[in-house]
Amino acid sequence: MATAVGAREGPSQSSSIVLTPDQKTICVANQDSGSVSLWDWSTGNDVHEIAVGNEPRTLAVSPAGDLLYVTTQRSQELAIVHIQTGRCIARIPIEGQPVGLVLSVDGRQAYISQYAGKYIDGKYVSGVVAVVDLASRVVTSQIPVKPRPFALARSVDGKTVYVTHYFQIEDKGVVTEIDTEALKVQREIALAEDRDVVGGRGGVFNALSSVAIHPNGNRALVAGMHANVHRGVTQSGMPLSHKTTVQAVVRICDLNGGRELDHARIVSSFSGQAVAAPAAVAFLGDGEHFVDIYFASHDMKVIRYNERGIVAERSLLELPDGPTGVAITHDGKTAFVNCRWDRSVAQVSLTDIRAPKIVRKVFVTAEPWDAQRIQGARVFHNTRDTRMTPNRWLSCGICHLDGGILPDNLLWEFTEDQKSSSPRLMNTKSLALTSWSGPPYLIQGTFQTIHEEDKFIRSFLGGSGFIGSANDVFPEYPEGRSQEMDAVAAFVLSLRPRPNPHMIGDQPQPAIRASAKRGRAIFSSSRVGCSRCHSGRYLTRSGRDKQTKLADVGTGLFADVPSLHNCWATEPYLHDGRARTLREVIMKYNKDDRHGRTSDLSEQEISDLVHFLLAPVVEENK
Amino acid sequence: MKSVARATVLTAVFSMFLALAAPARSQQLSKIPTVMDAHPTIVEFREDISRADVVVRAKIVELLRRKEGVLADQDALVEVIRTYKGELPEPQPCVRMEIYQALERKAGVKLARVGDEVILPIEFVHPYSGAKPRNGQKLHYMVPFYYVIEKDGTVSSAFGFPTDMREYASIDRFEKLILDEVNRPQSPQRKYETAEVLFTDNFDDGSLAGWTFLVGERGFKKEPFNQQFDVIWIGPNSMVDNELHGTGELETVKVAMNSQPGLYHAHRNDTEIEIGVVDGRLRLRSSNIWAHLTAVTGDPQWTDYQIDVDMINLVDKELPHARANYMKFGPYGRLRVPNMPETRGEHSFVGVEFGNFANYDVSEETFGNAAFQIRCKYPEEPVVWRDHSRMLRKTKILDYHAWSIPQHKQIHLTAKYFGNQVEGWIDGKKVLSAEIPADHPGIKNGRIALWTFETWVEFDNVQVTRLVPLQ
Repeated sequence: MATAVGAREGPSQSSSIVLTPDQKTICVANQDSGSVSLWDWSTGNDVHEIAVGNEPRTLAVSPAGDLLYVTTQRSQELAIVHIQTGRCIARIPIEGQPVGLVLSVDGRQAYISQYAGKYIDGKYVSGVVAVVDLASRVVTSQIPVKPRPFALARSVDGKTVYVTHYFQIEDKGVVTEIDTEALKVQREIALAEDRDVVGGRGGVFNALSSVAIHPNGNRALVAGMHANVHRGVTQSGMPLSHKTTVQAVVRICDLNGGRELDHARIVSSFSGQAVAAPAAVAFLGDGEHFVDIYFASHDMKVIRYNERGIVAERSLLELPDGPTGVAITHDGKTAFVNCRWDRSVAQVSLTDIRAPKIVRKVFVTAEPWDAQRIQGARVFHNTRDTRMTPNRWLSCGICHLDGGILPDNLLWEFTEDQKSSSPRLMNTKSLALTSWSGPPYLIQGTFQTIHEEDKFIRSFLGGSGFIGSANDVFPEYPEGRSQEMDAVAAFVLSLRPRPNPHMIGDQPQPAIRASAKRGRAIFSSSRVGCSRCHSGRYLTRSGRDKQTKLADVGTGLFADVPSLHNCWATEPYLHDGRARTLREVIMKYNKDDRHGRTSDLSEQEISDLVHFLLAPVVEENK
Repeated sequence: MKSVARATVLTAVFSMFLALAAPARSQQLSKIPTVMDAHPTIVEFREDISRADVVVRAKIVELLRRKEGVLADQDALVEVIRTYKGELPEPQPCVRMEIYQALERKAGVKLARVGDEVILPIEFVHPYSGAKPRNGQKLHYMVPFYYVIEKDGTVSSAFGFPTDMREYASIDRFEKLILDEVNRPQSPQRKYETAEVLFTDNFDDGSLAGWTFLVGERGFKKEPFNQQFDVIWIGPNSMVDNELHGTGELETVKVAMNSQPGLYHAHRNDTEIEIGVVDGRLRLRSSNIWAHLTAVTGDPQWTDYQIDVDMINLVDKELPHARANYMKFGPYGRLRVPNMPETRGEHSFVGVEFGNFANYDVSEETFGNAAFQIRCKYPEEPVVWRDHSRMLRKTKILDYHAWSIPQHKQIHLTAKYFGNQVEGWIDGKKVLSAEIPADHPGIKNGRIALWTFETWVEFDNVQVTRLVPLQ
């Protein structure tokens, strides 16, 4: 995610790649290697790699240029690296999956988005921005914000920090303004749904991956996706198509007025050449142009900044695989792009914005994964492969976000030839538990192998497919017939959920520990019967034998039984997302007790059961 | 008959407008370097000979029609003396001899007269159904530029030859130059085959996703001439266009989303402009003078590919005589738009299109409908009078075939771009081939587009397939 302009007087933004203040050194987070790399690009290609913890995400350099700060989402720390010696000198615990990071103007404070939220005074807060005093290395403030805070940007004067929330909230994208003096939320800017449903330009604004403040300080660009969830046969009369499902878009916020310029939406995938999965946006020089990079189509657009809603595209450049962040030199003539799947940084000359070119590529980390897994990651995301999709529209990674780990938390109306037995809303599944809960796969247990997703690729995504078939009959045993799909399967099965904010180590948070323990007993009791289907170590009966055992829990659809691990992160619930909370699953949408006998549970027992589901500890994984 | 009459009225109005605007235009034109100061260069001459269907030396027997002034041209019965290229069915054909901007631009230009011997590069222009070429011919014989053989054997151009052509200005050397070009061996065609599909859209989802429209930017000029012809590309983001009512007033044309989802509407000259998807087809409707509708997609880095598209040309009931103007439609390849999507003419392309040959004003009595052609456009100045665009070689016709464009009938067109080769295929049959000039920006790569100009076309089943060398 995200982007950075090399530190100087001006706005800053969280990024997976930054320049030191002297502009000589590139610092890059290697998300899959647990390291950062330092590259003195002015003198050569030598790279120094430093271990910092699991899943480093964003970086910031102290104004003096001596220290590098790094958030690590899985290790849940703020790592501090001494740049000159190349040593990690401290790791400050930061709960709740820290992601975004910016420093105060004087470099004394760090602002960090805690994506997963945390317990404050015994109560779970679903989104927090932490303030860390970097001298004492202590968290001095915790500012509650809406769920899933992600990218950050700091205003020119340092008085405001802007926070994107990765997922839409009640059909709106949200940017929160934090007053850094009062240390509280000042305002929320709502980024409303674009209602061009049939035309396919619109959708709810989701996956807000990056925010960049214009050099004049009055405007901010927010990169994300339009998810056209209200298109469908039963909703708009037209089914989803590969063109009309998701668009890459940049929204513009008026920072003075605290509102979106809704006439000025730059839907960059809708025009000219489709692009997919915006990862970072950043202004060049004086703000006349900005660059937008796209993780799945791995390219970069240079766009003339305008408030007319025009994709004033000046150039399109293919980048190495998996661009996640970009840093731009002060003069605006060079960009450095962190290319996650390529394990490299691309140096891009922007001297001629109509013809940018990669002038150098430096590998910044050794490949941490086996060959099949990394190939799978690339295929899973790549919209440039016409076997996946024509014209770079879609890939698996467009809905299964952030490296495949996060579902998009949206409901999509698929038709019978897409992903459902009939037109209906379907909840995007989390893939982080695939190895625990499959086969079968898909909500209706349609597939016995991940390889069968190739059918979906050919139908909905419009690709030519990876697995050859004779006479258009899909092979009964698709494994081993396509190196790419074998790799995708290996990659998906390698995904693991990130830390659960309701747990500490392998135990529930103290505030809910006793309740969760009681909830476990309720869950396991024959009286309620949850564990009849959600059984075993992974809390599902799926994945243990080839006999598909579907269940209708009163929703009208026989569905595969999901694992309940990680369900704190996968709202909404049930196959059609009708339940917004676990409580609603248990009480509101449990018709005739078909989803466990819960109707006679007391309020305390319901609360206990919910706490167990949020922090499930089962005997087998103790 | 009715449509012809209305077209004549329109032509008359147009001519009146031109007459009113002429002084201002002359003033402006003097600033534009034109081929009319000296024409043609050797390269241009070779191109003209190469493109012509027939090249003859002939004697003017009778002038059936003669028009002087801005668009000076004449219909002449000629007697063929020698044929250098091709064949004419008639021994005494009627040809349309044109000298664009002749009398306005260059004082003293004399049109050919009865009894003159002339060299005529002739191109076939298919007439609209119901319109009859002179002399009982099936086709019009269009001569874009001709040369007079003087009594002393010298050959002259109406505007004088540029330096490189002067040494060929005797009939023997001139003929040799013609024959050299006619007999020039064609460069071998490189063979190719199709690879993966890069892009496909059947519009069945009712969406314009992936397409963008070239947008003419507001760019008011002080000179009256420029005001008249400032903005001519229209897309959903267009807000301003200049009206041609000659009063100096500017009219705003708003292209706005209609209540029908995805369909953009505008009115100009009391005629409907529509952009959108209707019944699973892309509609580009601009039965109107000087309205370009250009839908662009694809990667500017695409190099070798073929574009397949189904097209239906419809007659606009609101303006049935519109096709008497400059109708054109088809796909562009190798499209380069430096300021995408805004343009004031600086974009370039290689189009494989139907429509009137080049920008010829064949509206006077000939009503040609008329060509299937490969046309390349170079980047232009922000404002270029369209005829000058042709004369300035900002637009070049690379290959041409007389063609009667069917109405209300689906045509499958394939445009192939492989290296510098371009081919035009209709319903699976190769009709055109040409080489992209080495100095054209689209010599190597570019996007694709679908476009219409002064007509109504519905597009469907667009596919772009990569071409690779045949193994």
